[in-house]
Amino acid sequence: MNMSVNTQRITISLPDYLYDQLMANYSRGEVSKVMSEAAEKFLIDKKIETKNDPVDEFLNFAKTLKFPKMTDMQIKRAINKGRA
Amino acid sequence: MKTVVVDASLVLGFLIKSNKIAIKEFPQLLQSEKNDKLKIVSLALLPLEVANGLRFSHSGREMTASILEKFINLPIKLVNLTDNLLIQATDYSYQNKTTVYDTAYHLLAISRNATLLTCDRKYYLAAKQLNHIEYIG
Repeated sequence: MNMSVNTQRITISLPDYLYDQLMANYSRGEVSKVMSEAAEKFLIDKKIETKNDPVDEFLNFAKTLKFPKMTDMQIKRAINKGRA
Repeated sequence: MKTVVVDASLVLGFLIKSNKIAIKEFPQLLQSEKNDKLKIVSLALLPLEVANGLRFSHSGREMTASILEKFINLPIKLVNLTDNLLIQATDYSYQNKTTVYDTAYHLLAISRNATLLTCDRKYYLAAKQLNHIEYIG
């Protein structure tokens, strides 16, 4: 992770048990870095999950498609084109 | 669980954005299937018809390939018609003056007590008396 990027300050709430584990393992100065890495990992995993879902992948891709206007009849002709 | 049969006119009506109802309904069908609330079935012919439809509807080679790569991974169960259903589909096609291709999708729906969802108005009007069909449009 590139730590020289611009940052935004946010306030987050953690369950006590997570907070305790965090504080037991890292100093206060390290918390932001740890939480950034955790968020980044979560978002990357989420993206991969989405990418691997065939329905989401198909629907997301379909949103990007641009065709000239066609009627249902023209589409039907395209489906059947070449058949005797 | 409810079962629907989809044809190439519905898939392409969604992809090409020619049919406002298909644009709304096809994603809902896929999401319902994903959540185990619906089963989507079609003929093994479906990917071929979708590919030919894209081939002849202003879709370039690369775009068509990209669409098909994603399309073939969708949770649509593709099946072949049994011999008996093929004969029955052919018979119905004579009766209703429709193509065997279109009627085969419909017979698949009838045989599974399902509903064929189609954007093909001409076929719908010719065969709606057989029931098990819904016009999307």
